[in-house]
Amino acid sequence: MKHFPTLCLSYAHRIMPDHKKGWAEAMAVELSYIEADRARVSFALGCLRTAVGVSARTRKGLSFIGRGLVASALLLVTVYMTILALMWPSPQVAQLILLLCGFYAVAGVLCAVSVPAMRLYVALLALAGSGAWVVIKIKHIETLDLPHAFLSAVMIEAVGVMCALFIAASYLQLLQDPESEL
Amino acid sequence: MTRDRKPSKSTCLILNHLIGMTCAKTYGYELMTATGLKSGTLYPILMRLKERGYLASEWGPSETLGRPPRQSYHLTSKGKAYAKRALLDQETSTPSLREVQI
Repeated sequence: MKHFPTLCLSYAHRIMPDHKKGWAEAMAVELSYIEADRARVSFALGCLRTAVGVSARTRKGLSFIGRGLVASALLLVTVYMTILALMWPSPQVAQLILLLCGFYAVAGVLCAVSVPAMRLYVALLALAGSGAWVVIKIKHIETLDLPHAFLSAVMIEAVGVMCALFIAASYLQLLQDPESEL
Repeated sequence: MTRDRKPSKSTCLILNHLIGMTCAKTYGYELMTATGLKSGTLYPILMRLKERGYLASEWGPSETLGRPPRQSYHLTSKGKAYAKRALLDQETSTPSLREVQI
C-alpha cells in the first residue's frame, strides 16, 4: 500500500502525452511532500485520473467519444451477464458466465484507458475469441476442469469493475467541467 | 477546440487564491489544501489555465533541505486580468462568493 501512490504516479507519467509529461513530473514531486498515507493515496489517484483524461483526449486512433461509447457498451454487457449468471440454475455455467463478465469488464477498462488503438483492437479481438471459446465449451461443461473458477471469476470481475468505475469517474469529471475542451 | 465558457466554481477558487499570492510561491499541494479541491480537479484546471496563457509555472529549489525541486505557479498579467474579470462575474452572479476575500 505504501508504494501504491508512487506506482500511480509512475503510470500517470507513462501514459501522459510527451508535451504534458512535465505535469506528471510536477505531480510526482508534490507527492513527495505529502506525509499522510491517506492523503498520498487520494492525491495519487486524482493525478492518475487526470493523466487518464488527458491521455484519452489526446490519443490518436479511436476517439475519446468512441472509447467512451465502447466502454459503456462493454460495461452494460457485463452488468447484464452478471445478472444472468446470478439467476442461472447451473453453478458451473454461472461460473463461466462470471468469468466472461470479468473479461468484458477488463475490456471496458482497456477501452477507456490510454491503450494505443492497435493494441486495443488486438485485446478486444483476443477477448472476443476467448468469449467465443467459453460459449462453445459450455456445451461440454461437465468435462471441463475448472478448479476455483468461481473465486477467479469473482476476483477478475471485482478488479475489472473497480477499474471501470475509476475510469468512469474520469469521464464524468470531464462532463461536469464546463470548461471541458471536448 | 477551446470553448469560451464561464469559468467553473473550482476555477474561480483557484484564481482567487492565486491572485492573492503575488509574492509568495504557490505549489500544487498548497493550492489543493487552500481551495479544498482534489488533485483530480485541480491539475486539469491548472493545465487549462496554462494552455490559455493565464498561468505560468517554474521549477525552483525546494524550501526543505533534501527535497527535490518543486514546481510553483503564478498568474501571468493576462491571467490576472482574466481572474479579476472572472471573479467579478462570479461575485455578481453568486452572492455566497462575496465572502471570499481577494
